Amino acid sequence: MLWLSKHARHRNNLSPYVDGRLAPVDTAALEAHLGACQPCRYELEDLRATVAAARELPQLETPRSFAVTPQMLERRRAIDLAPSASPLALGMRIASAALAVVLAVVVIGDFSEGGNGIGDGGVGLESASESRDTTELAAGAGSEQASDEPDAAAPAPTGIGEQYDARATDEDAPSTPAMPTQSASAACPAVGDQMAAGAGASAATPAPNATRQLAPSATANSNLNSGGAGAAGPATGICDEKSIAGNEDSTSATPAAAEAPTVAITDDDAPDAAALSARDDDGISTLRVIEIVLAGSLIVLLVGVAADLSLRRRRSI
Amino acid sequence: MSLTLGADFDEADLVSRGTQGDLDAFNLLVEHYQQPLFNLCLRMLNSPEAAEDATQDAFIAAYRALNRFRGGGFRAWLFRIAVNACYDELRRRRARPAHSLDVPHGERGRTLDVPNPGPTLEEMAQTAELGGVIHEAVSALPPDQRLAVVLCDVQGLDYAEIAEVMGVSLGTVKSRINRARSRLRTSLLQSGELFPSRFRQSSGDR
Repeated sequence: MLWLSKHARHRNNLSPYVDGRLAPVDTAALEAHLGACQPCRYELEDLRATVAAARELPQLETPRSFAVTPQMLERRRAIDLAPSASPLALGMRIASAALAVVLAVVVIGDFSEGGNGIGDGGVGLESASESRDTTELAAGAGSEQASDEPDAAAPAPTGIGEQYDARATDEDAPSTPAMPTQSASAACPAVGDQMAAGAGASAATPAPNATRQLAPSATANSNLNSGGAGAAGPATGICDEKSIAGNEDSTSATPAAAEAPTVAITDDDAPDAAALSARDDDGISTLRVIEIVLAGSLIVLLVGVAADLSLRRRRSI
Repeated sequence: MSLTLGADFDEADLVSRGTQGDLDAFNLLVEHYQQPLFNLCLRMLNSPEAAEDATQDAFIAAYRALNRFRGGGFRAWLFRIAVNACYDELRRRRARPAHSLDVPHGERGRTLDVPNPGPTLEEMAQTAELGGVIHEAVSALPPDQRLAVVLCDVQGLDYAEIAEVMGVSLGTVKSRINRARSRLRTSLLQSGELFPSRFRQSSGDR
């Protein structure tokens, strides 16, 4: 038994011995053992032959130069931003973007209803109906855990959005209006990722925007903070689509864009009758519940996305 | 760019210039290390195309992370980035079930139709170019052991550097090399490439 374990230890020392990496003491012991043990000598010979064979593995010439060009650095940036994540991570991103949009629409409904939505009915109606339509979509995509006050919803996406680099999307910024508010300046540069796109959208869309034409998200924001309330339903739909589609241009193929049009269409097509009944049910309290659920789910999803991103960042050194 | 490698090659200087954004200086490092890096990736991935991608990705990642290089062995640092790129690729392959881990590109897809098509001439040529039986044996090792043996015997790194590249302890390096060589020996013996020394010995003795 003792012999066996000693024998095994010597065998384990053969490999470092071949490499000349064995401590002098161990080398002496091993050589003494080799003198007395023929199986170990055979083992050593086999090992030497194996190592010799491995060392003869040919080194191939490089097929081309791997010099790094500035173009590669640019392209690499694009690749990094593209959704190369796992299906789960991708799903989480899409879901959080979609959720952010839905939440934004619901919050609009809440705002325009609670903060006297200038009597033209259409505002609250359309938003409410959309919230119903799209909640199904959100429920399919994300887990549901309500935890926070509805008010927490707006700060949360913005705050997380800020963690991400403001990449490539500064084109959005030039359209910032003369009266940029705090949240406007925080949200717009953060639009860089699909997730951030969601955050940006959610911060931006609560602003009922009077002009139906391609409202830049920053404009929408400042309107919100100055408490402006306009006839908003369809305009917000366009605002959503615009901010996300613009984002897509810079990041190439964000799946969020695929979601956005759907939402926008729902928005536009919302039948008035259905919308009306939605409000008549029990307007604000239902909205509050929906908001809480949506905000909770969004927070959970965003945490998941952030964890995934940091994990991958660490892995890529 | 036409600086010849060797005496003029001042790695530390090139690294610090690269850190300051001097792409040309960095590309001298690329020129110096591209062959070992490409061959490392080739052994790990068994596909020239994938190895090319991994090598290029590694150099790009290294350039972008250069300011995070904190001295020590630049080669080991660079190798580690390449190894990460290779493991990423291996993980991607595992995520795509249709592609088995180590089947070379040329063989993919066809294996589904024909159970055992045998190597084509092209594949045989490629295998021969890569080193024949020993190449097959190395390819069959699990990635960690393959990496250990490639770094040690093919690239000629010492144990400490291998430990740095692999991010493991010296003891782990030793045991991985041990196990890898032992498996290699077994497959070489099985393929008849390595004639068992006890037979050589005994026939010689008698």
